[in-house]
Amino acid sequence: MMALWRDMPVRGRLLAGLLLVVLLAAPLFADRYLLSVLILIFYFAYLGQAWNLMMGLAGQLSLGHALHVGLGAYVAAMLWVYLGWGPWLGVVPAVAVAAIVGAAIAWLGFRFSIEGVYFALLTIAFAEFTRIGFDHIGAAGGAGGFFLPYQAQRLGEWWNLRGGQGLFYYAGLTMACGAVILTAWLKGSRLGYQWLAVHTGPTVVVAVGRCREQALSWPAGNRRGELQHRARRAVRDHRPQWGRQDHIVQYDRRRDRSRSRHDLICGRAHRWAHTRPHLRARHRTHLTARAAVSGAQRRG
Amino acid sequence: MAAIILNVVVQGVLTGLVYGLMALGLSVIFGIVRVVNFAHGEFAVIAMYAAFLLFRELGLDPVIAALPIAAGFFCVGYLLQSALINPFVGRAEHEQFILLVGLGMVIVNGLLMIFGPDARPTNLSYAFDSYEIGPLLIDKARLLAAAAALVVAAILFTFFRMSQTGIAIRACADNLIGAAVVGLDVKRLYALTFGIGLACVGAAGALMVTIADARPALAQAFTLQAFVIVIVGGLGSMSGALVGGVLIGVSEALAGFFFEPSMKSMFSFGLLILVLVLRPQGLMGRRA
Repeated sequence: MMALWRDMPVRGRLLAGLLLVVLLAAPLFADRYLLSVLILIFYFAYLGQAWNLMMGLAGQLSLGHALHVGLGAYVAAMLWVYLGWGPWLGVVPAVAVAAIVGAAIAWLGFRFSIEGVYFALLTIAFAEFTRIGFDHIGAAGGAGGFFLPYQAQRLGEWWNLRGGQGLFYYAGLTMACGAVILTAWLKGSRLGYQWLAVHTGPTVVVAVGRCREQALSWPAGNRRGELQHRARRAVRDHRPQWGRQDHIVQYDRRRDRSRSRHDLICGRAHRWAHTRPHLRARHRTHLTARAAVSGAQRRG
Repeated sequence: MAAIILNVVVQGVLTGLVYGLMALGLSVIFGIVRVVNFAHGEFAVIAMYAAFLLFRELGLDPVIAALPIAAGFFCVGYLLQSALINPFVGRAEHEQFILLVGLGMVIVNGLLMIFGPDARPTNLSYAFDSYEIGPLLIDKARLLAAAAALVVAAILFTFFRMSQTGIAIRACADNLIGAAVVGLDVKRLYALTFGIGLACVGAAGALMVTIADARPALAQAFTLQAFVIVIVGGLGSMSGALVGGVLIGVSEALAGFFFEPSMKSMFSFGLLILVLVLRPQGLMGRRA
C-alpha cells in the first residue's frame, strides 16, 4: 500500500486526496439520485477489484464472477431470514462459501489443464448452472429472487445495515477504498508476485513449482535449452528475492520464445519460397494451401 | 411411453440441427480467425427479426428468407471483420472479449429500442401441421428448418473441402505464418471467414423463427448455447458443431420432458462442465 502511495506522482497524490475529500463530503450537497449512482459506482468498483485480482494479476479470464456475488448474497440473506444471523456474522460463511466454490472451480480447471478461452467458458458454465439451479430452489425464492422482509421496527439498526442512504453510501465508499488498498497490498506481497509470475511465464512457474529437480536436470543443448536456462535462473533466484520487480522480468520469457519461434518459421518459409520461384509463380495459392492442408491431415 | 420418448428425441434432433447450424458459424470463426464471437447470439436474434419483418411485410417464408438474410449477413460479417475485428486478431483474449461483448450490448439495446422487449411471433400457415409416420408425429416447421440447416451445412462442408478459397482458408487455420509468407491474403480470407460464419448465423436465425418467437432477451441465451454446442462438439470442428447441436437439442428435449422445461439449460451446462473436465477438446475436436 505504501509503495502505491510512494510511486504516485505529487499531482496524483493531490488529486487522490481531493477526490477523497469530495467523496466524503458528497452527502452534504448531492441529491438522492446522485448518491444512489455513487453507491452503484462504489459497488462496481469493489467488484472490479475482484476481477482485477483474477485477470490483472493472475491472468485468468473469469466470466462467471457473478456466481460468487450471488452465492455470497444468498448465503448472507438466507442466514438473516431463517436463522436471524446479522450481516456482520453472515458475511463470514458467505465469504467462505464463495471462496470454496471458487477454489473448487479453479482446482477443476487446473487439475485438467483447462486454460484460456476454455477456462473462461468453464466459469460461465458454472455460473449459469448455479443460476438456473437457484431458480428452482423454493427456499431461495425461486426465479422471483430472495427478498429481505420489510421490518419497520428494525429500520434504525445501522449495525445490521438497516439504515438510510447515507449509511450505504459510506459503507460503499469504505468497501471500494478497502478493495483498492487490499489489491495494492496483495500486488506487493509474495502472493502478488507469484500471481504476476504465473501471468507472465506459466511454463517456468510450473517448472519451478512442480518439477524443480527436473528443471535443474534437463540436459543442455536440447530443444528446451532456452527454457532450461530460464528455469535454472528462476530456481536460483526464487528463494530470497520474492518482492523484487526485476525478478518478474526473468519470468517474462514467453514473449522472447514466441518471437524467436516466429523468426525461425518466417526464415524457413522465406527460404522455401525463394528457392522455388517457378512453383511459386505457377501454383502459388493452390500448391501451398494444399501442402498446408495435407500436412495437417498427415499430422492428424 | 416409448413412443412419447421417441417423439421427444426426434423433436430434439430436429431442433438440434438448427442449433448446430448456429454453432457452426461460431466454430468456423474460432477455428480459423481464432476470435471467440461473444456477439454470436445477438446476430442470430437480428436474423430472427429480419425473417420476421420479411414475413410480415412481404409474406416471405422464413425458410426461403434464410437465403437473402444469409447473403446480407455475409456482407455484414466481411465488413465487420475488415473494419473492426482485424486489429484485435492476435491480441489478448480479454480485449477481444470486451470488444465483442460491447458489440453485443449495442445490438441488444438497439433491438430493444426498435422492437421493444415483447416477443414477435411469425404465424406461419403450416405452424401446426405435422407428418405422421407410424408412432411419430413430426412438426412440419421443424422438419423444414432442420432440412434447410442440413443443406446449408452440406454446402459449407463442400466449400471448405472442394473450393480453392475454402482450402486457402483452411491453410490459414493450419499454418498462419506459412500461408502469409507464400502469398495468401490472410486479412481478406479472415474477412471471408467471418462473413461465412455470420451467414451461417443469419440462416440459423431465420430458420429459428419457425421454432421460437423473436425477442432481444434470447440473444445471450443463444450465445451461451452456441458455446455449449461447440465445446461439446469440439471448438473449431465443423462436424463437431452439428453433432454437438443434435446432442444438446436431444438432451434439452429429454430434460424438459422428464424434469421441467425451465431446467433444460441446466443439463446443457452440466454436460458442458463434464466435457470440459473429461475431454476439453470436445467430442470431435483435436488436442492443440
